[in-house]
Amino acid sequence: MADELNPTLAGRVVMVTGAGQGVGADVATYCGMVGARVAVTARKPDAATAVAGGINDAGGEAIAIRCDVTSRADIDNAVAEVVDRFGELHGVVHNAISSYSSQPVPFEDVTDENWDDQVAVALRAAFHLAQASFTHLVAAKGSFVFMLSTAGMEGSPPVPAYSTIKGAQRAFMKSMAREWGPQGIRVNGVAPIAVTPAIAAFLSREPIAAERLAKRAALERLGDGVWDIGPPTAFLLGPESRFVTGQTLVVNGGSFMF
Amino acid sequence: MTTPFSTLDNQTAIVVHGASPIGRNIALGLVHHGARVASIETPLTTRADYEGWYADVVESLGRPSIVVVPVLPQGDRQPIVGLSLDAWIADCEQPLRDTRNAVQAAFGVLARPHGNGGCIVLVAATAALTGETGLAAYATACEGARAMARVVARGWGAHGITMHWVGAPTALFTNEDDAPRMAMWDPALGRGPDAEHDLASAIAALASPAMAFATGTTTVVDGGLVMPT
Repeated sequence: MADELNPTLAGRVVMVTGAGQGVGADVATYCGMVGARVAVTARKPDAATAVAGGINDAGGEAIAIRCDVTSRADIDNAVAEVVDRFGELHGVVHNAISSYSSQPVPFEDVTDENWDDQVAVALRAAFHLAQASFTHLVAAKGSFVFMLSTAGMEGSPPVPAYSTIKGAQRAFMKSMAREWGPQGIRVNGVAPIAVTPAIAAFLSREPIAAERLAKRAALERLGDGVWDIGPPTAFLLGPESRFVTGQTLVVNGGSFMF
Repeated sequence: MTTPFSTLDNQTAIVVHGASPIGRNIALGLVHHGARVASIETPLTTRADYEGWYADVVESLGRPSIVVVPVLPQGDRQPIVGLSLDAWIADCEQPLRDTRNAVQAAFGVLARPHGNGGCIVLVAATAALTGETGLAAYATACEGARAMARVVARGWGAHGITMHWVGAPTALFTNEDDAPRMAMWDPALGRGPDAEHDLASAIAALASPAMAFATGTTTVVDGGLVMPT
């Protein structure tokens, strides 16, 4: 199947956060399949190395970088290492999420510890990643993509803090798009529903949600991270979306229709 | 100003950040609609602070049925690239956390069976919907509040609590006379809102019995400037 793909990201350098597993790993893998040189960044270096190894084994080109996105120094170092190794940076995908994000907690019981970690990973890290990558994205007339969530758009009551914070990311994405448009940088979001370890864990605890989710999708299935979420993300990273910015691309198989 | 549609007679409303221009005007407007209004004017940061103030309101004015929380910026417009971490925290993380604290504390005084139910209204800038140059941090907090209104509405409906997000022109929050225009057209109604009359009336309507079956809504009160899809 990979042999039939158009190399839509050929020659481009893409950095993905939280790429050690789940949608981040899947999107990084797909980007590698369509020609990107990929920086697989993750808090756990072994996980990043495994994903990058898979891309390289499949004939792509990837490097693994340890990066805890709650550390500004880690983000600066990761961006610097990407540019040092590949010479440029065309695309950034901010996918990392907190380990608290899939833990069901009623809103009235959300603690500062839970809240702060989710804010640090999803919001403050986005701010730091934006600052760290800006000059490189200007030089490349690049693209920044947020992995958003439909939970932030319709509200997922088992995970109210996650819903709030993923919703908040959308306005940061839009504001970045407005500020950076004059420099030729595009900023968009993908709101996916795909089978990932986090989603699987969530759905195993919420069987009603699992049943409704499968029934509600017009395509009657959950997405596959590589083949369903990878292509729309690569589209937003690549030249074919040159006039698209400030938008949220909902990739959920026709579940909730916005 | 009182109308049969939005009368708040015999209801107690709490308005957070009542010392701010927008908070003060909303508080005044709710008084016009017949509510007993407690204006919380001290800048607060913790849930415990809010819980203490709300308890004082219960004692002095009776159990509230309406809690209004404006989401306020702290700083001036700055591009993302030049924004310090402190400025980011002040305009994004702190307002969002403050809103969370004010809403979490409201659960204790509103939720059935201990409370009588009620309505929480978050009031924020339409920068949440449009994105805005120089206000990325604050817009992020405002859109986070909008998502919060939806998800908490889903979670707390069974406790008799409705929750809404009301959007108003960003300049009402930033107090700028020369704010950049983010909309292509003039307001359909030919003017912007004033908080005391237009915003407070919308909040009163949302909190009134007539709107008891609506929750999780986004209501933009800007005279028809930003019309969200």
